[in-house]
This record gives sequence, C-alpha cells and structure tokens, in this order.
Amino acid sequence: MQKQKILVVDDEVNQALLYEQELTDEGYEIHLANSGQEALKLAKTNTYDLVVLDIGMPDMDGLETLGRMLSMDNKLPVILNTAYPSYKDNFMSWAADAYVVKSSDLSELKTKIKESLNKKRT
Amino acid sequence: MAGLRFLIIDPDRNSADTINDHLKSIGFLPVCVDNAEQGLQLIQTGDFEVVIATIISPISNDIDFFKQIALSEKIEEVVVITNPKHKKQAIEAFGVSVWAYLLTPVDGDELKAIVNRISGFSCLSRDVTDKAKRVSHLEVINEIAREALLQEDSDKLMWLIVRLIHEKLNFYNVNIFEIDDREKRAVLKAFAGGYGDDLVVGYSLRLGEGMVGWTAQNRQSLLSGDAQNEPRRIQGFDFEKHVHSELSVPIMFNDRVLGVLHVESGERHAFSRDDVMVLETLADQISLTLEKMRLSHELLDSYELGASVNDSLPVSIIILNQDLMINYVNKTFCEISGRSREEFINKPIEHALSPELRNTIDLDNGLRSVLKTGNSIIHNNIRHASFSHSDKILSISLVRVRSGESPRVMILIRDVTETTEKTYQLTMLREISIAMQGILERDKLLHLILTCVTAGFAFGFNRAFIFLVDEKRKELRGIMGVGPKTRDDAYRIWSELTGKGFTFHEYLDKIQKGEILPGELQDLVQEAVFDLDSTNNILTQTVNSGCHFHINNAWDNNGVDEGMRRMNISNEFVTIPLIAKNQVIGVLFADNAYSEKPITHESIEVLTMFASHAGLAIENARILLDLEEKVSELQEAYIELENTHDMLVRNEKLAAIGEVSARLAHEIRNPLSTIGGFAKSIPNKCDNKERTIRNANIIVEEVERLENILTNVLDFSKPSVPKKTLHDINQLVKSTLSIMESDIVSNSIVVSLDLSQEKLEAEFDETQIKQVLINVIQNAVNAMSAGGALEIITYQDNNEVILALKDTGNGIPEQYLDDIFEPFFTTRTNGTGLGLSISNRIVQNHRGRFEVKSKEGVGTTVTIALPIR
Repeated sequence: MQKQKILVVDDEVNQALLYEQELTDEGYEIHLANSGQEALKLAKTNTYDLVVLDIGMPDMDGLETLGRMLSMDNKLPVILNTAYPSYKDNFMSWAADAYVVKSSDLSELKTKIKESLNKKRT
Repeated sequence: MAGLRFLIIDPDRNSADTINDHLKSIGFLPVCVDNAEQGLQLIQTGDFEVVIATIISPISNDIDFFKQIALSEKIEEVVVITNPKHKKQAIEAFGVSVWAYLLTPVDGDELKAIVNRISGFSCLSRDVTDKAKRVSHLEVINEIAREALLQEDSDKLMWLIVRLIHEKLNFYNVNIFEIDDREKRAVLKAFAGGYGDDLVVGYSLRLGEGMVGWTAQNRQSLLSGDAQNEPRRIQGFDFEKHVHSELSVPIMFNDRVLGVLHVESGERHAFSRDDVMVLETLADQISLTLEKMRLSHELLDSYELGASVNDSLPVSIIILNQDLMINYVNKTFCEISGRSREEFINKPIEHALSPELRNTIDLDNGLRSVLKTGNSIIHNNIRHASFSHSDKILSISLVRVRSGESPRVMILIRDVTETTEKTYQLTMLREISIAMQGILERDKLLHLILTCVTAGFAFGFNRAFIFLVDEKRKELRGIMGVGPKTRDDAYRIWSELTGKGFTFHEYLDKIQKGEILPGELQDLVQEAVFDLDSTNNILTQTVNSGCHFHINNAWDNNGVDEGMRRMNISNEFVTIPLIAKNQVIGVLFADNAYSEKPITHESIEVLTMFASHAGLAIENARILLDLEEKVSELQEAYIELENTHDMLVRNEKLAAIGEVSARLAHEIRNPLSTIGGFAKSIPNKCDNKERTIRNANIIVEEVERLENILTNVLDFSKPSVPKKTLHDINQLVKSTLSIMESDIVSNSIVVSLDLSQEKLEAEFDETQIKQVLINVIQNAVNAMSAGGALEIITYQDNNEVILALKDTGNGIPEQYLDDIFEPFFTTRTNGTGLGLSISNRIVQNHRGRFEVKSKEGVGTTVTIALPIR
C-alpha cells in the first residue's frame, strides 16, 4: 500500500523538522513548507491526504492559507496547529477539521491525523 | 439594557422566529424581514441600532450588502448568522461591518451573551455622548445668558442667539419669530443654518398656521419627530420637504407670547426631551432680555416727558427799552418778587434784579450786545440763592423784540429748580438702572439699590431696607438695610458724606470694590423674618397684593405688627413690591426716620419705577447664581467625563497587557514544544547516533532562543528611567560599530560615516542609547543578508542631536509600518519582535523622537533625535 502524504506547514524550521521525524516514524510521507505561499505552491502540484497547518506565520497566516487551500479543494482535511490556544475561539478556525495546540507531546496531533484520514476514507 | 432596536434579516422563517423569541424573552421587540432589499430600506429609516443578518446565499453580492449596512451611521452593531458552508462569505463580512457571529442553529445563551456585550458597549458610548451633549447644552445657555446681559439691541441679540444655537447645538435650521399682536401674525426675525439665503426676515405666518403659529396660539411647545406626517405642519418652502423633525417653543412673558423659537432637523426623531428643556430655558432667557429692553425704553420715554413739563412752567418776563429802563414786568415776576408792577415801571434794571445775579450773568454787557446785534443770549442752570427763596435754579434768556420804532430787550426768567431736579433724578435713575444690570453679585446689587434710595443724589430717604421672598420656606426675610442707626449717627454720616461729596459713579465704584459696606442697620434687618402664610402685616400684604403701601400713621396702624416695630420704623413709611416676571420677589421699604420729611406722591411714583428695574436686576443676579450652579454642574460633568475616559484608557491598557502576555506565551510555547518533542524522541532511537546529535543541537539552539527572549523581556519590563550624563554621540557610534564589526563584515556590508566635525554632546544614558544603536544596526544587518550599504549621519539641529541610519536592505512592507513598535511584532522567524519596541521606548524616555521611514525593496532609514539637555 502506498504511504499517505502529509504536508506540514510551519515557519519554525525546527518545529517542522520535529514533525517530519516523528510523522515519518509513524509511516507517513512528509513534505515540508515554511510559508503559506510555499504550501499553496506545493498543494497545486501534489495531491496530499492531509495538511498540518501552523497559524502564526509572517506574510500569509494560517487562516488565510486555510481559506485559499479550501477554495482549491474543499474536501482536503486540514489540521490547524498553533501556539495560540485562543484561536480556538475564532470562528474562522472551524473551517478546519481539527485544531491542535502545539505541545511537546505529539500524541494528540497523531490521533487527530489518524481520525481525519479514516473519516476521509469512509 | 432596553432601548436597543433590532432588525432581523433572515429568509429562513424558522431561524428568524427562534431569534425573535429569544430577543423577546429578554425584553426586546425586534423587527423581522426576509430579504436584503427590504432590510436595507428599513436600515435607512434610522430606526435600528443592531442588525442580525444571515449570509443569505453564497452569491457574490452578499459582501456588498454588508458594506451597505456599514454605511448607515445609526447602526451600531452587526451580527452575522452563518454555517460552515458559507464560511468564506462570513469571513469576508467580518472585514466589512460584522462585529459578532452566530452559528445555525442559533443557541439562545450565545445570542443573549452577544446582546449583553452589545448593550454594554452601547450604554457606555451613549453615556459618554449624552454627557458631552449636556455639557454643550449648558455651555450655550451660559453663553446666551452672558450675551443677553451685555447686548442692548434686541435685533442683534436675536441674530446672535440663533447663531449660537445653530453652532453649539448643531441643529439644521434655527429661527426666531416675533408675534405682531396687531396683525395677529408670527414674523421671522432671525435665522441661522441650512437654508441660508432662501429665508427672508419678515416671512410671516398667521397665528394658528403651521407649527410656529400653533405654538404662538396655544402657548405650548410642539415637537414632531416625523414632521412630514404632522397634520399641524405646513410646508412653507420647497426645501422643507427634507425636514423630518421640528420643534417650536413659545417665548412667553407674563402669559403673553412674545415670539416663537423654532428648530428643524433632517433626521427623524432628532430632538430629545433634553433638547426641549434646553430650548424652553433659552426661550425664558430671551423673554427676560426682551422685557429688560422694553423697560429701559419706557424709562427713556418718561425722561422726555420730564423735558416737556419743563416747557410749560410759568415764566417771569421783564421788558426793557433802549436805555435799559423797565417797560414791563409780568404777573409771575410780580408774584415771585412780592411787589406790585408799578414799583418797577420806568426804573433801571438794578431795581428788579439783585447785583449777585446781574454779576453772575454779566447782565449789563449782555443786554447791550443783544440790543446791538439782535442775537439772543441764553444762560442755563444759574444757581441763585437770594431770590427770596433759597437755592433756586434759573434759566435766563435775553431776547431782542421790536414793537413800534425802537428795539427793546426782553428778559425771560424761568425757575427750573423742580424740573431740573426731576430731570436730574430721572437721568440718575437711568444711569442707576444701567449700572444695576451690570452688577451680578446679589449683595453688591442690593447694596447699590439701597444706597440709591437713601442717597441725596437720587431719592434721599433716610433709611431703606430690602426683604426677599424665600420661595421654599414661604418666608419674607430681611436681607439688607442702609442708613444711619440712630439720629446722632445720621448727623455724623450726613456731614461726613456731604464733606466728601461722592458722586454716584464714585459710590458705584466703591460698592463694586467692596470699600463701602452696608452699615450697622444690617443686624436689625436680618433679624426680621415673616411667615408669608400666617403673618398679616404691611410687608406681607405688599408681597401678597403686589401693590405699594404708603403709611403715615404707623404707630396706630393695625398692619404694623410687633415684628415690624422691632425695626424702629417711623410713623410714615413706604413699601414697594419688587417684581420680576410677574412675581413679587421681595419688598423695598423706605422711611425718613430722622428728618421726618413727608414722603411725596411723586417720589413714590419714581420709586416704583426704580423698583421694577431693581426687581429685574435682582432676578438677573439670581439667574446668574443659578448659572453658576449650572457651571459647577458642568464642571462636575467634565470631571465625570474625564473619569469615564480614564476608565476606558485603563481598560485598554489592561487589554494591551493581556495581548502582550498572550504573545509572550506564544513566543515561549514554540521553542518549548520543539525542545520537548525532540527530547522525548531521543530515548526511542538512541542507537541512531547521527539523529540524536542533530536533535540535541536543535534543542541547544531552541534553548538559546528562549534565553534570548527572556533577556529581551527583562529589558522591556525593567524600570527605564534613563541615567543621563553628558556624552559625545559620535564616540558612541564608533564604539558600537566596533562591537558589531564581525556581523557587519560577515554580511559584506559597507559602512560609511558622515559624522559632524565637532564633538556632538548631549545628555543621555549611554548604556540605553547604545542598546538602541545595537538594535537598529542589527536590524539593518538582518535586512541586508546579501550585502549592502549602511550610512550613519550625525548633526545638530537646534536643541537636538540627530542620528540617522540608512540601509539598503529589504525594507518594511507598507502594511506592517504601523505595527513595528508593537511588542513581539516580527516578520522574522528568529526575531523576538522586541528590538524596535524597546528602542522606541528608550528614546521616548529621553524625550526624544524615534522615526522609521521605509520602502520595500529600497531600504530603511531610522532617525533618532535626542534633546541636548
């Protein structure tokens, strides 16, 4: 079976590296983008099964990136991943499938990824 | 919470009903419509403050709809109802006018929470607006009152008032109509505002015609918030079809309508109850002023009457021939001199007139000159003491007359003592009235009134008292008394005053300056208090009847009770009511306790006229006192306004602290989660040495970043009062550059210095300003990662030293320029966003200026200006 493809978008290089290492260990194929623009570019040329998207980024922030990605493919599962728990109250974030606050414990993120991918398959 | 009006725009009947029910349950009565077009129409009526609208369909004009809502000034808040399907439109709507959102199906508690928040904001902002409005209302009343006291010309005053009302209260159109009683019409006297040249003075309405006419006829204010549908309104001009609110207030004096004050507005329901109150107060003020002006005209009339009385007095006539021998004397002359006509005929003039009088007017030369030239000679105001009466004032004319062949000369002698005194009294009275209107402190005014009643130059009563009505307690209280306390005092004071010979204006000046104070009679008067309901004496009768009393049998009079006797009143006295606006506000009492001179009918008449002026002046002073209270109220309102403002600022500061903490949490969370994540992954695959080393390096890197953030935060929160000493800024530039040399060189940046030739000394905290320089240079280096030029310029400009740093780096995108001083704002991944914010704060603490100019792709110039001292 082919590996499922996940796009990780984060301007923090080290954070992205951490996700790459940990999610590769989980058996996914990981692509990295360090800005909203780069993510959109990659999404045009690749088909992803899921996107992990940081909100606090310079230039184009995660919510804007989210809007543009959904306008390209509104069935694409997106998990918002941010250091701001307060974004959970922002109604724009409900457009995403899940919302995970950044933490050193990646188990919540991993669970949400599995759930979203399963939902997509059914 | 009540007062907010809601409009619900929702094509889904069920959803609209749910919202409607929830709002009704908390006391609101919303209006529902099911389409955007109808919604916008209703919004334009201005009857709603809050719109709850659904994202109706994913059509492109949804956003235009929200933009149009944003155009309405009345709408305070917009709430959008939406579901995940239409998230794109909802997000856009937020940028346009939307303030809050609700998800379908609408949750009642969520809706109520939003309504609560809206009401809170709305109350606070309305509170502030109301207070500001009240302050400006009070200001206008105050200003108009002051102008009214100064202005003498009623037309000018009317124009001034309409202009003030228009400017200060911001009404669209302001008119004053005057009632012409004979023609039974309301005539436009003055206007200000919207219609400019379209209106003309003299435009008139029949009584009963239109709102103005109705007000004049019914003597009531008339307010319409929907003028186009007001049956009593007529449209006098085409432009009035844009008028939606009108307010007419009658200007009344003693139940008589003098005019109408009329204001208009293009908005519906533009005038509040407060506005009506303010305009009614203004109308009162206007009526009082008009009445004041009328009275002073009346006084002028009686002055002229005095002069005509003068003309009809009997005159003494002597006719002399060419040789200056007496030909004829008339009856009056004979009566006055007490001799028969025969005694004078053919006698020289020395026989008829005393040498003193002849010398005073140089009679012999005068007679010759008149005979020779024919030009008459008139001598006015000749004081003459020996004319069998004491101290007369004469007017003597010498006129050439021709009868038969030879010219003769006629001497006309008029005794003008009485008329001169009367004229003098009236002139005095007029001056006093004018002076009274200028004195606005009650006690000084009362003192002036009493001084006039007692002083020889006016009425010359021995004593005068003033009693004022205390409305609340229903009492008549003695306020002030002027005059000597005993007969001995009387002689002493009279001789002193006559010796000094003060004129009225000298008195006025001394009273104004407080150099003369009411005498010892004060205690005697202030003890007198009479209950208006239960006491029946001459004083209370004066109040209750509004008539004057002249009593000449006080010691046997039943109306003189024990309370009055205690004031040592004399057998003959007079009481005059003090009247203002048809109401007795007090009593003026006067007697001749020491001279026992009888009180004449004329003096009572003049005193009554004087009292009506005095009453009005007292009322003016009282209004001023009220105004002063209002002014202090105004100051309180100011203070309250300020407090509210302070509170808002405090809240904003709290919010800012909250925001800073949130950003700080975010800044820390990022490296922390990375560190934790990698640390946790190490035990899993510790046999992969390469991976472990890389992870450990990342951990070290992120820890350094955390430390860096903390250092900056500490700098930011550290007390930052600069310790200023004198330094050379050029020296500081050089030492800072040497610290940063390695960074500059490794990024291939060329530095050029254009420093002032002389030492550039200023007082500053060396460590802090050095930190600023490091921050700015570090930013420049970061912006020129691919190399560039950094130019540093220093010079002196007036009292400042200027330090400018120009780089050729990336520049800051325009949309970020406003945010660069915000703590934690950064566009760099490895920046803390504190550098510029700290630098700005340091320079501001030095009372200097920190300016950033930047153009994307061209470069950035930072200018730092520090005061030399």
